Amino acid sequence: VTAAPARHNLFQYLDDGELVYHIAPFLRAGLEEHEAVVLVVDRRKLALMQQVLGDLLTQISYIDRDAFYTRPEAALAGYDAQVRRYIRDGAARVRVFGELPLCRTQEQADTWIMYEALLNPAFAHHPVTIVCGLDVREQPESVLEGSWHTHPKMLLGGWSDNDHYHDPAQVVRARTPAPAPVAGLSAVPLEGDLRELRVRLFDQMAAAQVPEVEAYNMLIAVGELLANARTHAGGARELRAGRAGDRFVCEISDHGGGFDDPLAGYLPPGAQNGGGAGLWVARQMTRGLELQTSERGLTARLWV
Amino acid sequence: MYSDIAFAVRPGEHACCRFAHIEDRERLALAFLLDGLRRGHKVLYLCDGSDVESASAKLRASDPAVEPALTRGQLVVRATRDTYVPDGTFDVDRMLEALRDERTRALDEGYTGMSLTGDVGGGVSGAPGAEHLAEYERRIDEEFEGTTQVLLCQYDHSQFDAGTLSDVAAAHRVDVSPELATIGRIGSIAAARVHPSDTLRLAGELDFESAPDVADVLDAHFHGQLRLDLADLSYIDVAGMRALRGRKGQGLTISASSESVRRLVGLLAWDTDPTVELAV
Repeated sequence: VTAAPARHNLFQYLDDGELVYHIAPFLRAGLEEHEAVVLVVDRRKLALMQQVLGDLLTQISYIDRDAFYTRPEAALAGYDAQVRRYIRDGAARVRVFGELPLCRTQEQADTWIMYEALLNPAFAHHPVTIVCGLDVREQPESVLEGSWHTHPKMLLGGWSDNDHYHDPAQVVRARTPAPAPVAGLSAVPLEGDLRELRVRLFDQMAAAQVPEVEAYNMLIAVGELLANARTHAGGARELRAGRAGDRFVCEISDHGGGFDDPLAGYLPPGAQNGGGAGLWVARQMTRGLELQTSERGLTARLWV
Repeated sequence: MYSDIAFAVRPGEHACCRFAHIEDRERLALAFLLDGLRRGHKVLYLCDGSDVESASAKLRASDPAVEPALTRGQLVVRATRDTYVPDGTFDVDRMLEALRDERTRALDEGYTGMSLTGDVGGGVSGAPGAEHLAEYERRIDEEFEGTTQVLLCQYDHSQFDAGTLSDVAAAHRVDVSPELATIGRIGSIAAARVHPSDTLRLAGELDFESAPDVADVLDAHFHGQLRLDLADLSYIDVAGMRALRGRKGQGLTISASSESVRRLVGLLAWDTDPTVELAV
């Protein structure tokens, strides 16, 4: 490693020897600089690092990538919380070597490439050095190619600017599936106060056998969307809800002009200037949030 | 998981409510009453004046749970005067004895405890012995331990002098003080001050509709580091969280949190915010 890596870097490698050769010194240098050092790989690669780093590994926080990566939203929140705690506890910088979960389908590849794109704005305010390992033996071509678009620097002899880097919003937009209408939803009356609305919606979810935890999360997410509609769009026009297969869906439509921000709700509050926390919470509480602007206003679709 | 009412007083507590507006007192009394019924307590409601019938009718009209509770005897409405000053004078020992008897009777009747609220109003304020009210309240605090009762003493601002009110308030560990009255006019939220730690306790649901009232009260009446007990907040949203800091972005100590609060504390990065102190 010759020049300094940036905040978010790509390291593609062909075999274990190359991995250990570049990454063991990267981790060791972090410890020497008294940084908080985190390793996010599978068990086999942890053992490889153990052979080279020995006892030093006890000073490194290990995260099992196969257990940690469930959804990009959760991974972003989890890393954000962890980095904040390291900094609060005195670390000047956090150094991470991590690898994406294995992507077996195009949908998984899109999801995790989106995540890599989101990492750039989401961590722009944190003192971090993240190197993403990409084992070309295990990941499909689409992940290799997508990774070139999501890392500002990559290791090519030294750490070089990556000419293939794309604007994160553009990557997220391109890989966000187009929202499709959901059939079979019914209108939930908006009359009364918020608590009455929550009771009504909760009862409907209970009747649809939505587990209590998911139902409660949905209430919070719907509440944030209603609050946004009230603040920015003169209130909600319609709330529709119902089962869609093994999921439960709520749609909140408002009268406003809508907006077009593919990053909406993905960035932790610290990465934003004040607003946007409601959408962040809504994304964290649900399995999915789709935003669609039409001539009638904004429609937000929440899935649990 | 969904409570219909918000009530910031817990079993085993002795709370005081000083009120200036009749609607605020009625809302609190109803919340108290429904909370007691839900806990399986026998609920004794001591109303000011002697018109028990019209007080009962008013309660009946305010919630459908009242009528059946009156019928089965779980809710009993009586005149404050008959309990506090049966012979025209207020006697501390006799009153404490009466409370003990009521609790024993409630437990004997198979209830899980006793919830008693008394509107200490005009009927008591002028009676001989009323100068011992603060002493009585202190002794309740000392003698009524355990979690089988909730005692809520309502004091009408217009019926007592400031000195008595402040002595009386000091004798209660939980105080729904008048400046908190606006919290709960909208939504399902309740507040109380808890002594001696001077903690503000919030209970119920704090959402973007009820948040402005909370922010107003905090801005007007709480200065410096604010100590909050949020263990009884079953629901909170982003606007609710923001309201906790008032409009000035006040520093906070959160001594207890519900699961709902804990999650938003993490998501809003309050767990690493140096101006927010979280008790572990």
